[in-house]
Amino acid sequence: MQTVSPASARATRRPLRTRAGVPFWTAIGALIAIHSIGDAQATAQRTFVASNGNDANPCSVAAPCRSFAASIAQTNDKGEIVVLDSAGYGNVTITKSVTIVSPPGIYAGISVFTGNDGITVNAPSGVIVLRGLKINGQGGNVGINFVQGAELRIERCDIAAMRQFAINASLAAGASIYIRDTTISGSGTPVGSGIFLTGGGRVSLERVAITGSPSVGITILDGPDAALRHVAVERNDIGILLQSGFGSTSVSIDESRIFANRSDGIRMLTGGSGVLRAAISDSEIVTNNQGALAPGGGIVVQGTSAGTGVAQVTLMRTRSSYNVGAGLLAQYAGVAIHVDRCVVVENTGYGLAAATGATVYTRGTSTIENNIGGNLNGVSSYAGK
Amino acid sequence: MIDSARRNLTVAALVLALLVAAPAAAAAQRTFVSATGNDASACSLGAPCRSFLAALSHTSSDGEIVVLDSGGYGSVTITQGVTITAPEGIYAGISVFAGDNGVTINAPGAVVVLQGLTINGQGGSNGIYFVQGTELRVARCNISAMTDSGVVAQLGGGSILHVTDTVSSRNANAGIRASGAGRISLANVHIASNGGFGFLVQDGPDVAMRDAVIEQNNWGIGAFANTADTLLDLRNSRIFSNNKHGIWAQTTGAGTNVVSLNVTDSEIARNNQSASTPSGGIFAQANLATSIRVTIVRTQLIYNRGAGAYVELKFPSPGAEATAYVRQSLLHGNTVYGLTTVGLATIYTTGDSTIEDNAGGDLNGNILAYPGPS
Repeated sequence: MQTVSPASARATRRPLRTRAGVPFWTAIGALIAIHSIGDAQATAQRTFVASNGNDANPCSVAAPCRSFAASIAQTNDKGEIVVLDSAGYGNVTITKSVTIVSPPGIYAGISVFTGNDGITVNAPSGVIVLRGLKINGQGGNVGINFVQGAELRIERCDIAAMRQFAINASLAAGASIYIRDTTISGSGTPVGSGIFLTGGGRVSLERVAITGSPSVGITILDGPDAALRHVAVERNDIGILLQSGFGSTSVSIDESRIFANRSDGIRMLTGGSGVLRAAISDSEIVTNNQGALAPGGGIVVQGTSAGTGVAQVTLMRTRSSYNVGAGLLAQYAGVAIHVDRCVVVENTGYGLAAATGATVYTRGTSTIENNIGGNLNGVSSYAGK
Repeated sequence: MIDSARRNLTVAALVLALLVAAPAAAAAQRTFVSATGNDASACSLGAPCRSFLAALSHTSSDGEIVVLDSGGYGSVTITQGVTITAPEGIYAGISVFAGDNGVTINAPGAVVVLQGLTINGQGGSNGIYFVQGTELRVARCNISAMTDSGVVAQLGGGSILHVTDTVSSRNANAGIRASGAGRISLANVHIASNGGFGFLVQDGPDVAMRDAVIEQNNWGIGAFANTADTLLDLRNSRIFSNNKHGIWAQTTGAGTNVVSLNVTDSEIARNNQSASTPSGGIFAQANLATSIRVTIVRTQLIYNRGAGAYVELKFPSPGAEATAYVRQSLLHGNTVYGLTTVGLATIYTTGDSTIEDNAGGDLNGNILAYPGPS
């Protein structure tokens, strides 16, 4: 018999516990049917899909459904959909809080055909969790389209070959998107971006790889505060584009690699009323701008020729090397960049360049050598504190 | 004589059979649950049970409960040493309804291990409730939407809480909270969107936290010492976008208790969007005879509303201190000061940090050059 703990004594929902005085097997025997049925009906809080499921089923573990779309109709608000085995489960539009989870070792695919999006989240105040899904574009537009919701969490997903965006999020103030342990590849054709984020919310990326986008790897436009860590951005056109026109954006990029992009590794553009703040730390920005865009390079920060843009950027313990063009190029008044403990070597242009009114500060702690166009151009100094 | 010997042999065989059979029927060292199981079964591999609760009653002390396939397995109270494990690739859910906790550990002297569980609140109080035990290890778990907290640990007598590779999110109170004389190790945890503290530790624990991400909670971390010292070592972690302080460290009370906070290779950014300033990224306040000691090394404190780090010594008695040491760090773009002190607190800097672009001033108050050996 179980010891009756304070917690189980309080519990009245589970019949097994309230019959503590009844011999164990009697209790189990008498209640097993109730227990099972209870699970099957309460199930609306947890439903199941399987390759041999049927959408006419109740989506229980014993009688799973075949598609996410059918399963979500049988799932409570704040419930869960669990994938039982490997198969494709189809597009779905989510209008309530739900978790869709495919455990590691199970392939849960969504093929997205022309004119469609893979997962559309349109759930005002909803909290949506997507775990372990593979979304593959077959002419489809957007892999995961976050139209509305309080929070979207994307974990262990792989999204490939979408025409516009692998992930598109327009965030209301206070809304959040988390993307973790996820890969994005070959998305953003013919225009668009692997990940496109805009609006007033908060963004967190951790252990995300964005590769092979013919346009931009990650775009953050007008507003979102974003934290990127352990992010790999490789072989896109532009690696990361941060743009502040009307909304202020603050972005931190930590322990990340921006590698072998065809244009700038990181391009920051500011102008208008928004302030662009970015902190890049412990990262590598290497062999970018292979398409030899000019002016271009590893990191390019541009205001406007009228001096209306404000950008405050820091580079800490970061390498910007082997880029075509400058390691770091800052342009126009209003742009100020502090560089501390960095390595900037073997770029084909300048190592660090401040042009047309921008300011780049160093304080003698960085290694800036062997840049073919010259190590420093127009660079100022500052004191540590 | 022969009959007697034969009879003795028969008895011996029966006894032997009973000895062999007894452990298997009553309690096996490894039991199994399955979505197609039945709680009237023996919980063996061939005849698995349907719930953790039934399996536990068939499991010997320090044995294992193994999940065979995806399903929900119900809440359970553990009063013995045991490992509950769902291998990768299997979803093992516990829905926790009102008035209940997901997994309760009330096992004095025992070690309990929970691996691969998904605990989802449906009105339930706490996901994992560590009442008593020598050690609790939580790995690869996912806990969300509890009306109180994801993990609650009442430590004592040096008991240990390990949490690794685990997510605790959207709980109404804390992601993880712990108190009492014990040790806590957190690694690769993601604590997000909780209604109270992401991680709350008070009165006794020594905490080693690394590779943690604590974001979008009301407060990021709370470290308090009113009746016993609390030590918090934070490495390679991120405290992001919490509504109020990123780290709130505070001591008060009648004694001379200490909070020691050591932050290395971490990032504390964009906190305090909805609380008073100049408190901000780190808010550290010692009262009366208590003390707070803070070190900040190779850490970014950026874009917080208010100060990057705020250190205050309030109504001090002799011997009390509130001191921070800042080295090789970045304080950038905070809205009211990079570093600030209030009262008789002191912040020492080693002159090798980048402290720029903070509105209101980079340094404010009693900021001194570090006099000690570097």
